[in-house]
Amino acid sequence: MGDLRQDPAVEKLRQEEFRSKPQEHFDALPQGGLRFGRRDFLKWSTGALALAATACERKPVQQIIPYAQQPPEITPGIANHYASTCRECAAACGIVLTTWEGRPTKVEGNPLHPLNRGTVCPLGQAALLNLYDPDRLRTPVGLQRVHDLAGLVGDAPQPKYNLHFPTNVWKTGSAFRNNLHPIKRQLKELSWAEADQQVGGWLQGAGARAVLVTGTIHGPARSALLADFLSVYPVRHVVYDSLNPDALVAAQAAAYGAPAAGPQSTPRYFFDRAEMVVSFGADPIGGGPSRQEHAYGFGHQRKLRGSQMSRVVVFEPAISLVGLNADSRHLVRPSQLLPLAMGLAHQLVVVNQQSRFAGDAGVAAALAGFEPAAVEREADVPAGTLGRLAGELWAQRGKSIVCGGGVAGATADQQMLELAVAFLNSALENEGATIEASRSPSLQAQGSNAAMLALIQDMNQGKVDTLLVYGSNPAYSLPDAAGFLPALAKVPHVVVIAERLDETAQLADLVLPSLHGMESWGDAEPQAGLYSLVQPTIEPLFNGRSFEDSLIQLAYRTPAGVAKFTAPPPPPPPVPPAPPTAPVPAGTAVPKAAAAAAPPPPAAAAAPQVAISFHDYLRAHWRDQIYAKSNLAGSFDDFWVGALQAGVFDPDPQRRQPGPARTFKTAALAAIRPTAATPPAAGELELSVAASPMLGDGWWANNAFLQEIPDPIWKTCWDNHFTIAPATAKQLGLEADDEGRYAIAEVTVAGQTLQAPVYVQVGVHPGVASIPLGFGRASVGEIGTDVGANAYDLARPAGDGSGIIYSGAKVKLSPVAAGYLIASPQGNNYIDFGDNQITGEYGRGENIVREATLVQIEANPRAGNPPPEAQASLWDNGGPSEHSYPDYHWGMTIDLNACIGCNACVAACYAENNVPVVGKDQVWRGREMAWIRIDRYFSGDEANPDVTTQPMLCQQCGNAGCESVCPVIATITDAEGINVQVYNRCVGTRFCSNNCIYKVRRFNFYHYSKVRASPLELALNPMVTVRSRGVMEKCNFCLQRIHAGHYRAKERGLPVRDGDIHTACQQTCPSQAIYFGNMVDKNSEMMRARTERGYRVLEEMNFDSTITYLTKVRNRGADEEGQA
Amino acid sequence: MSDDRHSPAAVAEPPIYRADLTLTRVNHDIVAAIFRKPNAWWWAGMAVALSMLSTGAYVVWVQLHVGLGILGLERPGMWGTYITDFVFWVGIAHAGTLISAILYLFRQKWRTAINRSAEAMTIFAVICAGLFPLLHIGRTLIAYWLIPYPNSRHLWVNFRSPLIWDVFAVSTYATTSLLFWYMGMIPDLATLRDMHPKPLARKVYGIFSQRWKGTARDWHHYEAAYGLFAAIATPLVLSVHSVVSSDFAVSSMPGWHDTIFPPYFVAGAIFSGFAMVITVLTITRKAFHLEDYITIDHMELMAKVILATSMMVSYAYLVEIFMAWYSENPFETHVYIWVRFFGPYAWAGWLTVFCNCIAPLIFWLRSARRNLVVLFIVSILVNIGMWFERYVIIISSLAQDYLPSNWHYFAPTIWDVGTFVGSLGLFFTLFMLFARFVPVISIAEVKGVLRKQVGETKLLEETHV
Repeated sequence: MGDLRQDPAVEKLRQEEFRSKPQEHFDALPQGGLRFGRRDFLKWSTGALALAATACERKPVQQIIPYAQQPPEITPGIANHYASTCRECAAACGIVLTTWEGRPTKVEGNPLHPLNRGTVCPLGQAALLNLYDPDRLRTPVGLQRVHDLAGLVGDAPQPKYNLHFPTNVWKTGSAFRNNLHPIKRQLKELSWAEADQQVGGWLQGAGARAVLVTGTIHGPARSALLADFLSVYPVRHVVYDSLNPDALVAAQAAAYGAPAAGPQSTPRYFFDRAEMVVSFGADPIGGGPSRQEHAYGFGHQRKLRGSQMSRVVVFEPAISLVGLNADSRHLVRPSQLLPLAMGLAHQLVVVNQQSRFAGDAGVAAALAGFEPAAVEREADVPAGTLGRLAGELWAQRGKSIVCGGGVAGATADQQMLELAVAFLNSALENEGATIEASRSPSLQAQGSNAAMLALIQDMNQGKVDTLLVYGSNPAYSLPDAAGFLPALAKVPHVVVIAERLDETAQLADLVLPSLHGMESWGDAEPQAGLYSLVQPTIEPLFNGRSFEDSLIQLAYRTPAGVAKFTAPPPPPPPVPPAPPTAPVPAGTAVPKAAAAAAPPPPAAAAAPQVAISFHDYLRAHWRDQIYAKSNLAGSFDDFWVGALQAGVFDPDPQRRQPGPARTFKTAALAAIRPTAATPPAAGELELSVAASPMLGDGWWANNAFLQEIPDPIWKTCWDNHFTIAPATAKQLGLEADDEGRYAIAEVTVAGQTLQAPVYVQVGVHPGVASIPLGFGRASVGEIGTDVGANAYDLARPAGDGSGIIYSGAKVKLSPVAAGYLIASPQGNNYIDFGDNQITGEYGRGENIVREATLVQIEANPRAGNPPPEAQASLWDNGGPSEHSYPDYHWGMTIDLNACIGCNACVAACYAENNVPVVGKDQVWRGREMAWIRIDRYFSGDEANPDVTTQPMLCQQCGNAGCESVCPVIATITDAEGINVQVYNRCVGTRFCSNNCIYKVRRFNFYHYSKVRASPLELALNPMVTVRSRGVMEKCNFCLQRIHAGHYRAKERGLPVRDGDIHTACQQTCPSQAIYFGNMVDKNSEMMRARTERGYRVLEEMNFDSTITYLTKVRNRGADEEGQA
Repeated sequence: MSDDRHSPAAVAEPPIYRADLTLTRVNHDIVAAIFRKPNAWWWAGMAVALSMLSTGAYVVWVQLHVGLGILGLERPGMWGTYITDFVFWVGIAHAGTLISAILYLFRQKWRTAINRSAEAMTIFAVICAGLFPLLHIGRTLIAYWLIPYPNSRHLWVNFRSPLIWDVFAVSTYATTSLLFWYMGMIPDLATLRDMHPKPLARKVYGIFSQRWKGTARDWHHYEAAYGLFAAIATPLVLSVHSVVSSDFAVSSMPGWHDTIFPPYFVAGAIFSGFAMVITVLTITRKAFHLEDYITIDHMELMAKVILATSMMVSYAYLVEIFMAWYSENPFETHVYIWVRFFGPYAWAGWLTVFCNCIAPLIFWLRSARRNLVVLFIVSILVNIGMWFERYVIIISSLAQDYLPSNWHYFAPTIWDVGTFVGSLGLFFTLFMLFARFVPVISIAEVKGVLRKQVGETKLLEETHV
């Protein structure tokens, strides 16, 4: 108003820039009014400075070390990808390793590799934890040898069962920690020179009385090196893995004669050609020598093609991974597997008079004792099952696979079972069509229990002076009854080359640390004629040395070795291969890794010459042997770079197709006698052992991912257990108590006792107790030691030393304790049956899982999948949500038919997204952090249920329940339809999780990410935030990969194409059950996969999820017609 | 104070206070407790309360250092006892303002005996309630992000989230209740200022009594402001618990997503609030010899309120169950009927029904309403029942929701209990301090009622004030 009136006061104010005038204030003071002189000012200033200096801290100095000599192929912040071969098991799948500034952070399948075709199993996905395992042995060590091993046999380490968890077990118990086993105190650290000198001396002293025990080793250069080593030292070589194919090899030899490709080859199974799979106890996709190859083929055959899909019939004692996927499963006792297989053969050949063996009197005589009706009655299988099955199999002859055996089938009859299965395959003309053993058999399982048992005999007789063990852990995986430990006490010198102080290493005189597959050079030949290379992607983390280099160094101590392994006088500079150019960039870390792989020359080699490194040997061998197989025009260097970049060299794919069928020698059948197996007495159960789909044979037991990701079937983790059927539990009084706690029972087989918890779950034959192998490691590291019970202790050698018997023993479960907690992320007690939740009056099921039979689907593609009711929209745009996405709207389609429940996606997500592991106690409390989980639902008959597995991850809803309730907008839908979680903004009210109808959000109740022991942090993906305590996290469709895809597209100047971006789960899924893509692009593979079978989980809630599931189709085949 | 000549009820009502009470006696009776040195009972009570408080403080300290993992929280039960405790305390906080504001507006004179302590309970219960959401969130140090304040990061809160409504509702309620309580205390503080033997105390009470002189002008302003506050507070009584119920009703969970929740929660809050008032006053009137002021008639009236609200709550339970059954929604049927009454949480469900629906039925008997032992026991049962009602609503709805693979049984840990014990300790500590330093009964209002009851002239004659 003053302004309006042109008040002079306002006018004056406007003129002045500063209204407060300290100078005027001082000026106005009378003389001496200002008592603050110059000297005072200086005094106060000094004081203030001094105070400031005491109160403040020096700013922390951070030194950023630049790449002074930056390797040409490494750009900080941009990942490099190297093709290599997975060395986690002998299957040797091709992998591509993502590395950031020299550290691998992610394993992915190599799409060029014909075995796994771009996918990796959960074990491979978790391999990084093995590489960065803090519990790895870091330097050669000498041990105070425990010679009185006989005393150890009686009190084999029993798992410690703590009945009640302390509140904070994650801090003190099973999570990552960096303490070695207490035995470390007895260790004496050695230099490599000292160690080599000692081992060399022992080897030379032992002469032919030295034995080298290794796991399966294949690969041209590795095999050649082994042969060279064996020629330098006259050492006996025994191959022993935990699970060995003795029965299969023996049966194949009996059936078809000695294999052309060498005694240790096994048949290959082409599951991608099988329209029908029948299994007698085997689990080809959950274990076995080449599970990922099998899973790929099996899963793809499960997809609905038009109105065709494969049919799977399984006879087994307890559900296995293949049984999980069975269209018809018959739960039988292990001892009934052989009669059933023979009964099927009888039905086919004698009753139906089909196959080329029809009318063969010898065959008929051999099968005479196996009348189908009698066999069915004996095994308690519905009458007519074998008749229908034989008819179906004959219709699919040449397009089916019958497999048998496995660990569950490894009874006293295992060899006869394999023989019967071989006969069935020959009769069904699968031999040479879906099974190949003549030209390119599998070399992935070469171990032999028989050879090991013979060695133990020799050790006991004092025929062994020096034992060298690598890649094999007989002290763990041999049952006590085999007598390995007392025999080992009689061997004067034991050397173990291993990555860790495992059970065998603890009993050695000397342990030499070997390298992880990602640190070392190598090659592989999983199937005859298929070659692949292993290249290092990181310098050795510790003072280890690869097994191959150790062999060279040891051999180099003899004149013969010097002659073989001397480097040319001027050591050839390693040829740096050209930078990667191929679509799969590969192999350029050569100089660094090669230098690292070559150890300093041993002390004895004072001569000017030095031993070559294994890298040199490998290269030379490939130049001399493998290069010749290629018809490339280029030089060897070109070939070498190409092979490294591709990771695999498949000179003649055609030759690896099924070769000519072998002829079955029917005389072998006569050896199969009806076993006079008495049925178990009252209260007795038949033991069925299984290889754990997560931990395998136990080699990976220190891997926290594999311990934490639940078993696909039982959904329990950080434990193994006897699993028995509810009816059996009721009968034996072993049911869980009201609080879901289980009993611990003791089982005695052939004098060996084992204590383990008893878990009660459907899917087990009522007369069977099933327990997986792979647990109960006595010494493996902080994660896996003393987790679960060692079921190998329940095995026993066959009387004739031909192998080891795992299953079939009659056992009594005698309770020794009660109140044991089993951690299960899916809840211990909630199982959903036909009339209860999944279908029927409760009605809950059809909102979650939809299923139909193949016959119904043929009649109506929408069978079992009624269209959703129209939902009213709140929004003007007529769409279900307020958002619109003009360019990109990411979505997913998941084919429930193809999902085999293998958990590979879960492991991939853990590795890609830095998902923390929380330990058993936290899982038991329902706090596991998996962003994607496999929900397993049972339906139908309680005694023998149908199983559905459903990958469940954030559904990226359009009308997300989580978003509207978050008070701080920490979760929002981004411009491409992804429901993103802003970790920094999250205050942790957890309302979002409560309002999520899928409950896919995970909360950091503790600072889980901080309990990682060094160097495990190196495995973290730098593109993904590590979450802190108190924030919510969840799947975001691998946002980092989507962004990377956008960047790549931007560089090209084009929009993102379909297939440019793969989420981690999708990438590794063996059956490609997960499709990911842009919903705006109606032609994307993901959208095209959304057929009439598509439905959304809980669609009626109108959350507008972007994930469509496809109805599960069950191919009941003749069983359905039989019932109809 | 108030003019209720036109109220027909006033004519029929029996006298509220003893006929021989005089103004001087009122002064002396009520402030005597403050001037006396605290007796052993007070110290013993304080010791119990403080030890409970320190237990809670230890739990909170550990929790803030280690993480929420020490609690029983899990997936799917991401909300556990902390939210239960929060709703429980907010519910307790209802009685005070209801008594002060709504009963004031309805001219219920009997409220004068209990309104001061009921309001104090409101304040203390809101303090306890307010602690739980702070402790409950994952990152307590940035809890202030729930407040919409301008910041350089251009971040704002989500006004669609009921949690934000909660922030406003509870903080408004706390502020209003505190001011209301304090304002009503001013004449009494002045009395204390005038009567207190110690000079320091006189000084302190003097500051807080804001130079109250008891003039007609003072009283005029006071009455106007008091009425205004009562009018402002009245809708808040209804809104706070309605908003708290929205935390659940707005979600999509079966067992939460329920339109009956706002009135049902308000009724439940009054129910539990009055129960807590009975629990506390039964002890207080005994401890401070206030039987003349908080008479058995007062207790009976509160029992009647409890009976009425109990019936409302029972009705709400029945409606919930009926709607779940009638809707044929499998998820709702599962949670409302199976999980709560036959499934894993049946124990809690039936405990709730017994405490909240069956036990209060005894108040149909006049003798039970006037029996202090019965009153006390039933009020405790109602407190327990109302805690478990919230427990059942929160826990059981989450435990078994849509996907069976998520189902998980929630069980609180000892730490959950510790925090609740701590909040009880805080509540009682504050209440003990309150009873020690502030008149637990509104002297001025009692006098106002006495004037009407006895007749002003007679009163003045007798007391020569």
